Amino acid sequence: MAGHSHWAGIKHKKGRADKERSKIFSKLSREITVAAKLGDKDPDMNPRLRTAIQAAKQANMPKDNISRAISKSEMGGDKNYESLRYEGFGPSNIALIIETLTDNKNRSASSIRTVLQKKWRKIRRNRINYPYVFQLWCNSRRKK
Amino acid sequence: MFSNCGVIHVEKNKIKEEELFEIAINAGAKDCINLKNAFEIITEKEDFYKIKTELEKKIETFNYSSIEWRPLNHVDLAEDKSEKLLEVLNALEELDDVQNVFTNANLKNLH
Repeated sequence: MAGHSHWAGIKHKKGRADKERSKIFSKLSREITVAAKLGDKDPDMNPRLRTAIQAAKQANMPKDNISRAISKSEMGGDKNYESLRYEGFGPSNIALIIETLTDNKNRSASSIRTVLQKKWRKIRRNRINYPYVFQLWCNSRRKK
Repeated sequence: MFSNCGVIHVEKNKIKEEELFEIAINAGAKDCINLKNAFEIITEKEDFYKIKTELEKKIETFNYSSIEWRPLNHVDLAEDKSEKLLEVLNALEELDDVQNVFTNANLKNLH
């Protein structure tokens, strides 16, 4: 059964509107920037960067965007992305793992919480006397 | 509840099953699975890039490759529930900060 239900492999391939495409691009380029920052700028020497670029190419991201994302990592700048992982548990034994790359962890935590509260209410509306709340933990362990 | 592992998908017409699996196992892959439209190689998180580099000698590009959180146990959901969960997942993906979302639920409508 393994591998049939995973969401990560499918999401980039699903036909999406242009507006959402730019969102995917910004996520992919963020990963490229972070990968380039942590390691070598040359994708041949930096497997994480190579993987990120491959994923970007598969999503039909223009070359310009990719090179811009790499050069962004050299500028340093004021943005320091942090890799945080959130874990959530909800009704019907559903568990979620949410990986984030953020320059402001307070914002990311609160926006995730808002989405879960708003959307999850819909899920449990039909069994309202079953007071499950989506719980959220944050593992602030840095990736690498 | 989840295990952190590397996942590589290889298109079926790129390489023969035995050949691919032999390279993968020799390089230290944990599992090789024959999926409907791709071969899937599962690796330890630490070995992911090593194995990928090894495979790249044979195959130029992969369908898909990344480090994922794979649930150890899947949860089956009714169709209406999985649709709603999908809504939640989509809403989470909409957030700029979120890179990846993984769940232990079997999403029926994605099959």
